[in-house]
Amino acid sequence: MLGKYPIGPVDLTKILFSRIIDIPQTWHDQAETVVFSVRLPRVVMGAVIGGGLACAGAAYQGIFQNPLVSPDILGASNGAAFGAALGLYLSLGYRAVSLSAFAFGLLAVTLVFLISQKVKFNVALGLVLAGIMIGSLCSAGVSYLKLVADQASTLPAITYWLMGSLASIRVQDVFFAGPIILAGVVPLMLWRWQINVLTMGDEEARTLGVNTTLVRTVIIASATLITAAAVSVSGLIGWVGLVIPHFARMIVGDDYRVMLPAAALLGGSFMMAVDNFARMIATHEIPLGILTAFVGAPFFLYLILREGGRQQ
Amino acid sequence: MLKGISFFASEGKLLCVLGKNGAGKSTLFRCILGLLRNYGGGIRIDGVKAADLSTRELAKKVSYIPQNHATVYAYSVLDMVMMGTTVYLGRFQNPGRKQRAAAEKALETMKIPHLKDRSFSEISGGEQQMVLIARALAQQTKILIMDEPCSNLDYGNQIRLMRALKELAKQGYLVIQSTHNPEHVFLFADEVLVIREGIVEAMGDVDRTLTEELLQRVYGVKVNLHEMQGTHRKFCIPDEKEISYRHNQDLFYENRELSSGK
Repeated sequence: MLGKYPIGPVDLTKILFSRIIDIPQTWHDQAETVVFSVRLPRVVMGAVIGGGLACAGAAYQGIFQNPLVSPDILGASNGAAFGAALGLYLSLGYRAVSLSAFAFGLLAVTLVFLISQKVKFNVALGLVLAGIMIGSLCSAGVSYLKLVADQASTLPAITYWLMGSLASIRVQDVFFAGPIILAGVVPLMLWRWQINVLTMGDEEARTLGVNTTLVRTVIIASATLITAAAVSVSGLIGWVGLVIPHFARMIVGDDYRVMLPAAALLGGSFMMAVDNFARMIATHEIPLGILTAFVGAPFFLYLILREGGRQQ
Repeated sequence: MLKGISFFASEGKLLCVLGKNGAGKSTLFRCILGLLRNYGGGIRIDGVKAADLSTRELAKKVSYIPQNHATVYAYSVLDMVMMGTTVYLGRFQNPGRKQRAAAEKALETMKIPHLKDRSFSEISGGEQQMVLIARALAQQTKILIMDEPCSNLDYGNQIRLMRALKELAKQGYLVIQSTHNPEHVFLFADEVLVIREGIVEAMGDVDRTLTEELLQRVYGVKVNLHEMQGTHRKFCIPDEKEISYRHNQDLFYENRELSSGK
């Protein structure tokens, strides 16, 4: 409807339904191409990524009993960023860059997980500390790659990629990241109540009959899958996983049975809305990550101040 | 930490565990609850070795009532109590009508049904403690374990809590709790277990077990036991003459041992 190639709502509806029922063609072939290979994938991917990141963030916030945690806490984003930067530096193809980002995201969290197993006295603390360490290691790696990258071609590519955008989403991305993200969301949704119990703390949850090791491992694995898959196709889009769960809590309360689905819906809508602005505010696309930060950071500040006011 | 622990407790009793900080009370509880599992010796619940039971199976026999604690997220009181029913849920099941009914019944038993829809983080510390007990009741275990439940409560709530626990013991639960207050033991407990340096110092009926001499040996403070006239109620007060140089010296050495990491 909006943007550089306007398609009216009537035509859009006709185009969408033409794949299901027979409608006489009243539009340009070009319009159909724009809808099906550019705009529809972008909208669908935006919704799935936004919802997925919000779920992942909410899940992490639950199992770490810390509302200030975001999906990149265990280094998934930083790992994926390094993977993507490496792929771009080596001038790999588009597909290979995504795969490399995804693989390094998983690798980073796996490392974090293995290190944390050595910290026996406090598993959660071990995870967070190892996450910070691996995360900064990956950032250092990215900085180094930027330093040695070709200033004319690969450096801008890496820089833009790091800012996060849905502009380059194509159908193939939806079929690559979509199923992975959905597969990660399913266990989180199934274990909504168990996450509630886990927020009571590890030992208490165990005395309530929850196999905390299993549940925590599955939840971390799922949330990591979501984050790595999202970052691998869209780049770093910050704040969604941190802020949207809080937004959901403000509306429906803290109970994960209601809050998690609410966060998923809000995350999806938020992402689609912000992406529209990213597309149209300026003549050039503004990277989505910049916009989410502009919205997310002030909102987060507001939350902190509100929280501080309640404590007194 | 624990070296020679051996005791037996049965349903329908309020058992208090006394001992200095670091004597091994919490360790003992963690063993019973299955949070620590690689201990020598054995704990048997209804004749079954606790170490052989899975987390789930054990949670159907023993429940833990933590000290009233701040929760990061604000759940309703009913949701808090329903967490006690988790162990009876299927793998991916959310609590339903049946669990809700069980939770409401537990709130009735604790005489706090009016708190049902309040937020757990907004009710008072004493009320929170009652809600956590209700959660243990919803868990339907015969054994309830509490680690120093009175430590964050004001005097009125301490007494209300102890009365509630006594009542539960009468209803047939085995309530095991640690306490720092011998008064509570005299007033409410059926049996007492005294631990000193990881070893059972004494165990049994309160009146016969808890003597002046034992309290002094355990806490290093001289106390006098008195019986209230016309009743069999005992109480203890610190010996006035002993509030003294010697006691301060003990404290001094104790602190030094602590800081040197012993």
